[in-house]
Amino acid sequence: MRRDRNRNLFALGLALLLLGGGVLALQGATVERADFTFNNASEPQSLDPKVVSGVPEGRVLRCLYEGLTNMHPKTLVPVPGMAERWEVSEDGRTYTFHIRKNARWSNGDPLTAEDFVYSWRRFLDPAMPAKYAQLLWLVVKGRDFFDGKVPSAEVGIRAPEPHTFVVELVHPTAYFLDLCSFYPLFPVHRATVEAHPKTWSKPRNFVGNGPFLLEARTIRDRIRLRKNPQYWDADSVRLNTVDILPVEDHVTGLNLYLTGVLDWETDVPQQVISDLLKRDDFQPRAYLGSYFYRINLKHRNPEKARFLSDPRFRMALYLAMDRKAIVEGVTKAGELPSRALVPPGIPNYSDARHQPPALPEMDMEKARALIEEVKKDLGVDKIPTLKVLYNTSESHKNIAEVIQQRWGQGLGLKIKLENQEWGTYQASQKALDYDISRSAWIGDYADANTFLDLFVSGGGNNHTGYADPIYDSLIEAAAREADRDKRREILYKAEEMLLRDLPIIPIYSYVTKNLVRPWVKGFYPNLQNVHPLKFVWIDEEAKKNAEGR
Amino acid sequence: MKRFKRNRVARVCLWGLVTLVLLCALTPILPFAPPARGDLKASNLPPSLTSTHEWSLGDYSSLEDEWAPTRWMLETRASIFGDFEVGPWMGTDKLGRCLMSRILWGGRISLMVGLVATLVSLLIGVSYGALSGYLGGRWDNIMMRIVDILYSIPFIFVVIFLLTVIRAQQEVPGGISINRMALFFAVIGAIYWLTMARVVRGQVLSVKHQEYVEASKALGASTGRILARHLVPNVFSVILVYLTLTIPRVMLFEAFLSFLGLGVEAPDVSWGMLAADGLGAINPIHVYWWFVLFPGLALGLTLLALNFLGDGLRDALDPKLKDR
Amino acid sequence: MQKGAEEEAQVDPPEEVESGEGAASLGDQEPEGFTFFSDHPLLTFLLKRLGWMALTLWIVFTLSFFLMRSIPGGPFDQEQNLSAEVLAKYKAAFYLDKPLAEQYLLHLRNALTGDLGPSYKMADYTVNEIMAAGIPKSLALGVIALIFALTLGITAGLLSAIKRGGFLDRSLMTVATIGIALPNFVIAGILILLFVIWIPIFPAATWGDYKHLFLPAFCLGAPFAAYVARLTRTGMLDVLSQDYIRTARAKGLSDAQVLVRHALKGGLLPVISFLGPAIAGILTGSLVVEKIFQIPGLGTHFVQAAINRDYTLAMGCVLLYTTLVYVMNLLVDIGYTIIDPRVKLE
Repeated sequence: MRRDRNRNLFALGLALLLLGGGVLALQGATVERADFTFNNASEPQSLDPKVVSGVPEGRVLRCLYEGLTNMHPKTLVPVPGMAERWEVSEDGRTYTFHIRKNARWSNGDPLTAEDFVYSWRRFLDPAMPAKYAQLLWLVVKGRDFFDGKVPSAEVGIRAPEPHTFVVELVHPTAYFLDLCSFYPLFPVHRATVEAHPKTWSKPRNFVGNGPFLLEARTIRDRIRLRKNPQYWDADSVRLNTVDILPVEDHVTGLNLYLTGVLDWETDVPQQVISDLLKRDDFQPRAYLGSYFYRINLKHRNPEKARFLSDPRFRMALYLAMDRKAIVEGVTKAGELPSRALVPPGIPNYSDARHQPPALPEMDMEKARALIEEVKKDLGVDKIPTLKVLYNTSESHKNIAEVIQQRWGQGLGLKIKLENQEWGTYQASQKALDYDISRSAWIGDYADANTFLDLFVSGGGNNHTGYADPIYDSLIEAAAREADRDKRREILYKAEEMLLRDLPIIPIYSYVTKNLVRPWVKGFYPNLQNVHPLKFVWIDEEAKKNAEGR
Repeated sequence: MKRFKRNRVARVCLWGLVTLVLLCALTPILPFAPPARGDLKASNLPPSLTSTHEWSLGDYSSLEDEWAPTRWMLETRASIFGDFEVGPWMGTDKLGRCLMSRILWGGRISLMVGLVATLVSLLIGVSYGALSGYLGGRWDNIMMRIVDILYSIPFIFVVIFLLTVIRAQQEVPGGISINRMALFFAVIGAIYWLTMARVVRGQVLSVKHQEYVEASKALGASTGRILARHLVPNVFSVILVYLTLTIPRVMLFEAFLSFLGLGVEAPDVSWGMLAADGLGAINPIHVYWWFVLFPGLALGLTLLALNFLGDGLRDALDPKLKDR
Repeated sequence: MQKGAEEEAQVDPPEEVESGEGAASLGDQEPEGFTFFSDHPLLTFLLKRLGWMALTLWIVFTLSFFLMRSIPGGPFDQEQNLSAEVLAKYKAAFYLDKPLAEQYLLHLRNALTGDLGPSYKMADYTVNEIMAAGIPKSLALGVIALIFALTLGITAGLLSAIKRGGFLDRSLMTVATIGIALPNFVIAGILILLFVIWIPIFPAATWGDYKHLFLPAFCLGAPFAAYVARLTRTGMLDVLSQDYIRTARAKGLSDAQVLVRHALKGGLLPVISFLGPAIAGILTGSLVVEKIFQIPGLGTHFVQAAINRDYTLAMGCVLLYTTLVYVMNLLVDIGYTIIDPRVKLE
């Protein structure tokens, strides 16, 4: 029967389809476990130093490349990297780096000062600059080149000799050597980039100069690294293979860690923090980040603007906020309640020996009094309902709920919560389309400037409408000041101003939440939560003992 | 109806649902803890019988914004029960809020989302489908093609888009303030009308050529009149069945949106949000089983009951459609 | 999320009414039904449907294009560290500073040539590469989920149809209804706790061999299995009450023979019509499961692209999804005519 044949054909087709799927399923096959596997929590935007701007990208790039300087794994101070030594001129404006003679690219090509000249010019390329391009406006004519006003040859980046790299800065910059170890400024291999302009960062073409090579990469699945034998310090690299996973869900990440897949998990679900604190492999440490609420000082609604732009009202909001309850009851990992924007621990600013400006402790009475005062002055009895905006996340929500309750019951304010997914949230902040907004900032380098710089007039990340020429001039003056102590005093003045005007309400400073297996050695806690895998190794004996038990 | 009465499972489900709806509707008047009152010292408590708190009206932070009957019920409750409240029978969450009262208050929203959104879809779907089926021919073809095309559009964009646009409108000073929840209903409803439209159209097509419809047409009745008087009543049973079967789908969709963080907004709660929030509590380190169990049960049992009820109704109202 | 799936299943009755009517007349003229390639109907049918598909894709493209761009926040707006000057240059480099109409024409032209452009958020890849990497994974997951759904669903449905009204029937149907009633992220959470942590027989997450696919495929397939079970049961009950089954029984065929030779064909028709939307639903509806189990498939890209405002990748996903839904429904329509010759293609 014909019909039967057709039916059989159809069934056969269906069976083949299913079978094909099954084969595809197995095609993934098991990959051999790497020496070290960690969760990077997201897929890196790119492996091109020019295109990246985030923490997860930094973790990958530090494996694949190396800058002029490196960060010391414990103290984070700049130590020799591609440059084996350097000199700074009297006026602090000219840096001369001596590239080490045994510096090589992973394909064996020697790495010279020319590579840095090429990479840094590419960084400022007027047509398609790096996302962090403003970092090199520090360099003489850097800004002009970026704007397309001068040719690249005029920029203050030169290679007078194959192994000498000279940078001229516009003004002395205290953190320039730290900057040289910052991942966007890593060099790229010119020949490869020019031969494969679009595909050079794929494993088949990739050439780097870091401790590891890019062996394989599958999107949102894993990045496999292998030790780079051409690396100048290959002898001290002890891991042979590294796997980097992009698991975004932290419960999934925790499951992976506990089932032995991960050796290092970079964040943990809030729910289990108090239980994890009892374990040896979870040791939160101070982290260079601040959690705070932004306040919209230029609100379009005149009703709300009257209150929000009154510093006394903002001070009342600050005073009524129970930061201690938040860190102890919600975040729980030992975060420090903050009374200032700049987090503690920054050398020569907020470390143990220095006392940066700070706001008073919580004071409900005073907060209420301030609110009454504001109401009286404005001749208004009712304060409009205010909205707290946060990007979709459980812990932001919980913190906001605690604050909502405080402000609601303590101050009699009507507070609504509003969550938006990340894109909309960012857009709302940028457009000053909010009342009060949850925010955070993770410092790019261990200097107060990375925080205080946010609130200069019209700054790209200001998002509060705060604009004060005096504040701007203080930040400007601090940037030009070469003397460490004088500079610190200027920055103190700036932060004092900020805390007086309160365009933001500080809440707490971050801690790291690394889960690291006990047999992972060479992994040191530090303020920037940077853990170069170059120094990491596995204590096989400890591992065997632990697994044997 | 006799057939329905004979179906014991469906009857039990119906009464269960009625009880649930009543319980949720009357929650404010019953002695439960305020759903938003957190006490960080009493967080993550397993279920217990006695409350350590005294109830107070002040713990309902946005009382003035509440719907008048809710406010009135809360005030009545205050005069009946005073500061007494039942304990956290289902435990407390990580901010120390009573899970049971959150589930009950969340039930108000979940059920409302399900009901209102389904009604919206019903309204659009029935009128569209009926019109399409009645007009027939070329119009029918075009209208159904439009439905086909809409079917292929990934709805997540529609949802994100609409939810964002809604927000943007709220901020206009002095402008119309649109309740986000109301629009949330509309958005979900607008997605689910497609099926309804197809079903109603199919029904209409089969009733259309019946003699009595032809007769009234011949008598010069207007299109609207024929639709309302003859066609709609005929598809009523199908509509009723679909109503009970669409509500669970809408509620599941709300849960899915909550999982993506696009659901209702705090301090409002819904079952989907509670279940999604509770997901973090299923982890190998410490299982706070009550975080997931109770919201999951509430959601699961309600949907189960609605499904059984829908099946029962279908069996009873339209034997032709039996068990489809 | 079994959204699309259920809908189709429910839509069935009226459509059958129609096709039944048409089938009667067709059946008289051409008892052998339609045959492959010997006639033109299939070809014209395919061409017609392809035309509609092109139109649908164009409409979906246009709608999505303008919808996406009317949501606040562009692909580069949401990075905190970008200064205004750099942002302007990035926008220019991706033509985001051009008037909307011009962007639209540009993207439409590229899309027509099959070039969906680079991903804005994963700069190392083009959209085509990302989707090419994601499809096999979603497909593998989907196929296994489908196998689960079909085998579990049909078995359960057959069993309850045979033991109609009995204890087995009731308990199976209750389990099936629970499968529909619980959000699959809850099911996934419970399964992980059971089979990963307490009884460690499956890996927790990530992509690897078949073991990695078992749990996610089960979670994904569970609601569909539940539907298939219900559909099979009703389909079988319908068929078993028909005359020709009684005739077959009267001829002395055993119950099993009746079931396999005669009843199964008709009884599975509703399941077949459910397959199209089910396949599309499984393939794309996996975003929750993919997130929980860290499967690098399309579902993850889909949600992330929407949230990240990765316009090009989002567009790619939308178009792919549309095509999938369309093709699956088409295949099912064709399959239906093969299995049930009374149904004609229109």
